[in-house]
Amino acid sequence: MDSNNDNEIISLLNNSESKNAAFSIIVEKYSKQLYYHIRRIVIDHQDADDILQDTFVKAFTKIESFRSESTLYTWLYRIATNTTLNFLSRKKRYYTFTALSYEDTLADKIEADQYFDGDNLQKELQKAILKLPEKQRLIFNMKYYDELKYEEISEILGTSVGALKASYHHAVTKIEKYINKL
Amino acid sequence: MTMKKLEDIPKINNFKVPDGYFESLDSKINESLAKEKPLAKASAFDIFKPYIYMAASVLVLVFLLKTVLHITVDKNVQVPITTQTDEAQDYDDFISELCYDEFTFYEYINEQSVSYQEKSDIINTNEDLAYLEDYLSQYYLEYELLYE
Repeated sequence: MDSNNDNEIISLLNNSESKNAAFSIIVEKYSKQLYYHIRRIVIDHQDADDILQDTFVKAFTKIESFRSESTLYTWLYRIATNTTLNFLSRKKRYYTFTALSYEDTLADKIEADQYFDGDNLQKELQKAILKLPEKQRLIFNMKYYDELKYEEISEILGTSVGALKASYHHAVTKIEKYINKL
Repeated sequence: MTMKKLEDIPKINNFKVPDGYFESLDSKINESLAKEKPLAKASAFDIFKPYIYMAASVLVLVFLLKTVLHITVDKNVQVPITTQTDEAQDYDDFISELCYDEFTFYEYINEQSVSYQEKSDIINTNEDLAYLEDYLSQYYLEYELLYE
């Protein structure tokens, strides 16, 4: 990500006259990456939309807590990830005493979702990803789809690079095993 | 049969969004931000509010306890209300007068400054017996006149 551009946006944010314009630039610049990061975890568009809006609202109301040690992108990504994880834990609590798990309902959603456009192999790949533990799923998506560097993922999740590499390797093995069982 | 690898699967973004979703996102977020209430600075009252409420609860509890105890204690010591009839009042007067006269009688005995034996003798004398009889009969007569 372009950190020089981020510095310009931050300086615009610090000026009350250009603050709103800076917010619009941030939304335009990062909304797609953040949306798909959230969407791959929660699958449902409406849920992803709610979480994304919540992410930006949190970011804008807490912009003073942003430290320039991290990039604006990783800071936003961290907020989005935490908001998504909170959403997941709420959902899982709701599904505690039901016959189907939350992940099962997400797998069903992939089959029926009008906003999912993929062949059988793509559907099975998403179902295989859904079988992964929550954090491993996050790591896999961030590395495979978002193509983030391990160092960036480490900064976002607060996990060591070595652990991330091992987790990603295990995730790939599990997914391949699932696909080959079909 | 060869094992399928992850790289054999095309990396495609299969998740779609409604038309114009990203274009309208900025205005939706601005609406959400406008709804967000700014965090007000906590006043001294806000800081001490829990303690004030706690103190008020204790005061209310003490007041209630005191009221309940007061009512209970009052009930315990409450003398049943009775209506004293004229008849009973007359009887009371009669008894107190009798006691007074007995007291007078014993005072009279003591005034004699004599020994116990002598006191018995005095009482046994006809004069004293007559005195006693006279008093008692007088009150007995009054009692009979009043109640019979």
